[in-house]
Amino acid sequence: MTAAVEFKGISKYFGEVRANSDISFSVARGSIHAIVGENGAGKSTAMKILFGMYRPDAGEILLNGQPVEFSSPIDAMAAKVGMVHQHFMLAEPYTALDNILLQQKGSAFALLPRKEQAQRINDIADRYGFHVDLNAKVEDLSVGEQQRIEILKILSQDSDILILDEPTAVLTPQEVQDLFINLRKLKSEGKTILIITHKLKEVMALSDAVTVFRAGRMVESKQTRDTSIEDLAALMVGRRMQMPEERVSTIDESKTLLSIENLSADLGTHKLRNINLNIKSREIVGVAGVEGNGQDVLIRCLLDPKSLSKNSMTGNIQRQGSLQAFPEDRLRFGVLPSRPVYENFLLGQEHRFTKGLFLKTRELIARTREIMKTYDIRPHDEHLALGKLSGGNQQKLVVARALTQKPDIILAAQPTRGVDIGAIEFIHNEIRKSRDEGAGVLLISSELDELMALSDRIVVLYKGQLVAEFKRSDFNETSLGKAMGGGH
Amino acid sequence: METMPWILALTLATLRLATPLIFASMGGLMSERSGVVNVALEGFMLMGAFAGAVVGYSYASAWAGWCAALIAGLAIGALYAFFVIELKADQIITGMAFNLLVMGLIPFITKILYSSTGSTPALLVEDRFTFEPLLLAIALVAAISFWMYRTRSGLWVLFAGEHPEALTASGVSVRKVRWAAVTLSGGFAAFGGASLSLFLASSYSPLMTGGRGFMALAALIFGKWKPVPALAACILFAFADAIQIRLQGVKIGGIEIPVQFVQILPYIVTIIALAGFIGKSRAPKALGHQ
Amino acid sequence: MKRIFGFLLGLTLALLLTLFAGENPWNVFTILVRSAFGSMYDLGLTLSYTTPLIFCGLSVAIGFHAGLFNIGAEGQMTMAVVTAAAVGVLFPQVPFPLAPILAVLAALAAGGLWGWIAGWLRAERGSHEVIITIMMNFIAAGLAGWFALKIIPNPESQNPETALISPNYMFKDYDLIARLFPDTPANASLIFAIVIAVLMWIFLWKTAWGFKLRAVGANPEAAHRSGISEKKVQIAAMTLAGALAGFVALSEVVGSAGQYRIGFSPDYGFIGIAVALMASNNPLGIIVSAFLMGALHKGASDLDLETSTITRDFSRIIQALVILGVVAQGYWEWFKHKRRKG
Repeated sequence: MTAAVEFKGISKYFGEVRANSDISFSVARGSIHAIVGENGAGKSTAMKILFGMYRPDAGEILLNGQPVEFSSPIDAMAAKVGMVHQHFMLAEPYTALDNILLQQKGSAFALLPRKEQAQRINDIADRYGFHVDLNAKVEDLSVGEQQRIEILKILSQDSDILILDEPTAVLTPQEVQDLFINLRKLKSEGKTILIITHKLKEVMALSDAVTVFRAGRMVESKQTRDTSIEDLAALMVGRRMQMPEERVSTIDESKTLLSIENLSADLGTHKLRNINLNIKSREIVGVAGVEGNGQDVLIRCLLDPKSLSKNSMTGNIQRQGSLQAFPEDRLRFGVLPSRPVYENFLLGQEHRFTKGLFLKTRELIARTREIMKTYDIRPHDEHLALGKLSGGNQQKLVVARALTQKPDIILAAQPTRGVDIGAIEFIHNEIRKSRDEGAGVLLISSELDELMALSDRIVVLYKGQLVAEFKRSDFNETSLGKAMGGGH
Repeated sequence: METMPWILALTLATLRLATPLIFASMGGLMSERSGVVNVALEGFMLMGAFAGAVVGYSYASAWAGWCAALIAGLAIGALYAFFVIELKADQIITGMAFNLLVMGLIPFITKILYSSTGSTPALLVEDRFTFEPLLLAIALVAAISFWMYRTRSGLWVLFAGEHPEALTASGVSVRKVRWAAVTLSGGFAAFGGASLSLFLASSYSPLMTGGRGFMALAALIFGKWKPVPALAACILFAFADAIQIRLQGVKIGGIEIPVQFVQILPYIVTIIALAGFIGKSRAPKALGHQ
Repeated sequence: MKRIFGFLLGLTLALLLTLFAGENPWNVFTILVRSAFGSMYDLGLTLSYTTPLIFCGLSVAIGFHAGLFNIGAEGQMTMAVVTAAAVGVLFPQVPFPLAPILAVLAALAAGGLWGWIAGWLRAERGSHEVIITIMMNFIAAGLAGWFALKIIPNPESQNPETALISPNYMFKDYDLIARLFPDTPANASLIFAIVIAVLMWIFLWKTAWGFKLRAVGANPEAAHRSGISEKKVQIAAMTLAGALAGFVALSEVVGSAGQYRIGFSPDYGFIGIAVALMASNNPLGIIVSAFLMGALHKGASDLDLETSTITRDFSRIIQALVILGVVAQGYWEWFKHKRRKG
């Protein structure tokens, strides 16, 4: 039987950077095929080539044994290949239906066939189980529902090959279960599914075959049943992963650094209700939760209570000592991308580098150079615009800036988002070091692995409330996941 | 003073004065809804006013001038599109430069054509428009609000301004959509200018737009980037303008209000509108992004 | 380097346009140069344009550094100039060294207030500063016109201008530059403008406040998170911008004319945009680019006399094309792209 998709010696360069190099593997028709790899391993690039978003510099792609050459996603869609992007391609102020209709061809000045298409799309949704209110505006729908719109977009085009880029990153565990059920249904209808992920448990649970990418190369492609999580992890990283640290708690119970009492706040879209939380010295408290359950409100209450009026925030926040934060969205809240590294290092600690009215620029540059060495921020050039650094190096600078100020309390929000594995380990170790030196850490993350690796206890934020609390000894993914989905 | 005729006159004056604003704000709507900031409306209007007056005069026909304004507007709109879409030049700075360019080009051309840098020769009163541009303006608003929300290409423009990646992913070229929208923006704004020189007046006089391009933009923002509310905002600003004209020389309690105070009324109303109500107005998400 | 190319490209295109008017571009260019630098008198006029352009360029630049587009320099300047004239006309007894200082401080306050209004509306009400400052320009013109013509008109002239300020307010007797360029409005405020530009350079690049202002311009949300009040910075930047534009009162009223003349400005505020852009908002570069734009403006003013078809409005075309030449640097990539394709 010919494969539904075959990559044959695909290479792709962006300038000097080799994103894909000599990629070859094939995907059987009617199967679920996982593509795994670290950030930057080239898996997204390969899928974007398949979807016609990039043109390969070498090699070819075969669909059902026929070589194809896509110059744009339009060609790919005409060949019945569809893709759900990690960042949804949905315009929020418009309805689900309009977002789906955008995909369809037709004369520019023809009226939109809203009624007939709504009927047809509802039929498709019924058949595969992707229900969604077509007349609702996207901004009023949950992330899971938005993902269904994306999948309906593809199904409404009768596509046979579906590419899903990190589809579970934003979903609750329950939503993930539903998605998997529906994906299996699609498979049984004969569709071929490629799914990009870095969650190996999901690979084992869902896929028939798996291809591993590392540093732009395809390192392994085999049947899922012939492999294991440990195997895949080793292939991804190129070495065995470290086991999370075993540590005896050394929490300094006598020293409360941060205490939050009866905190309620309302930011319109997101709310917090009656939060109580204490953080002691040498303690890391994790806040788990799917994004949009009040994390942003909590961060704002801690960092910028002045911007909230008396009416919209009640309760008490008491702090013993200084506080530093890693912002949840680095590029938006953390850095000045167009400015050099040393000015980014300066941001927020201007008083440390001023004498009278003037900046001590020489001292600042020397200190930045030193920090870039100790934190291994590459390239070692403090005059480079920060935006030119990779995500991991940018984040290291943000972490370095906060931690070198020796804060008593650290608010670490999504500290390793969009960061490669090497930098993740580094950042985790820095957080642990600060903790051992006496800091208290509030860790807000949507990565369960990260929370379980670092936290002494984990509280779960759901719809603005703390709905569950787990001690380190009780950590387990199932119950945490359940609490995150509101089922506690 | 008899009230009824006075109110009627004021209403008519408001509608007449609203016409250039409506056209220009629909021009702004096309461009900004597709994601391109347009502070060049002022220049586009001047271009339309000038081209309309010149051609209208030489053919003794307002309609000829109207068509010329359209062509001139489309041309300068396309040139603006080239700069901001192809060359990715900063949209606000480019827009201001276009205003400056038109202000310099028009006297340059009048000097060649008429050996003067002042006004163009006037149309005969019976040759100029009596009401037509007003009706066309209202028809344009109706057409745009129908087209934008109900047809496929309308959806393209909306998505180009809100989520251009989604539009690209569905196989439509954001570039082409913006090109079309920005070019049309020039045409519509030029109609606004032509209604100044062929409807409210009968010739082009230097800088006759007097900031109306910016008021139209303010009306668009005030109207939340939607056709009908923008129309309402235009009428509000035009009302301030109509009052302004009527207040000149009026005495209150025996003291004449200085003409300069009265003339700045529309500008003050514009600032108040932008300052007071914009709070919840939400710009197209991709507006101004390259 | 690319900016200089952009400037030359804009200038060349503008000169080529004169072909349509039946002129010889090279001829027009030589007129521009001769008229800008041909004699001490010409150079004096060029320098007298340079001074307000430095102030307005700095005004636009400080806005850009804070992420704001100040198109309001024209109005801020107008308010300042009419205020300085008002002080000089209404308080003629103030003795010499105090008088000019008082007039300039009043002018800075008026310009600063005009900028503050726009900054406050932007920071606290989210109003688009471009439209607000444009509207403020019209309002300033109206108010200044009223004040000049109705409250302190010049009784000895039919021209639209205020009465002359008391001689106590002028520093002509001590002005070496004015002596160097007799019969021109060039005056010692040029030195002052250069000093202000240097001070602004130090402020922006060497002080913590300057860094905070630039941080807000680079990423207001990140600045906010780091503890900088971006609203205060935006308001302060616009107020400073207004005050910088207000310094024009020094060169125009106290330094040369001794009065506010309606229409004295050939749109200094707008030319200031081109000045700031050409210098990448670098205060030291602004000194140079203001001189270049001042020379162009002076050069163009003689086109009326020296050619049959080109008028002084031609300087607007040059300015616009120079701005476009500088701002549309995308043509480098665009041409490269085209060549690769073709």
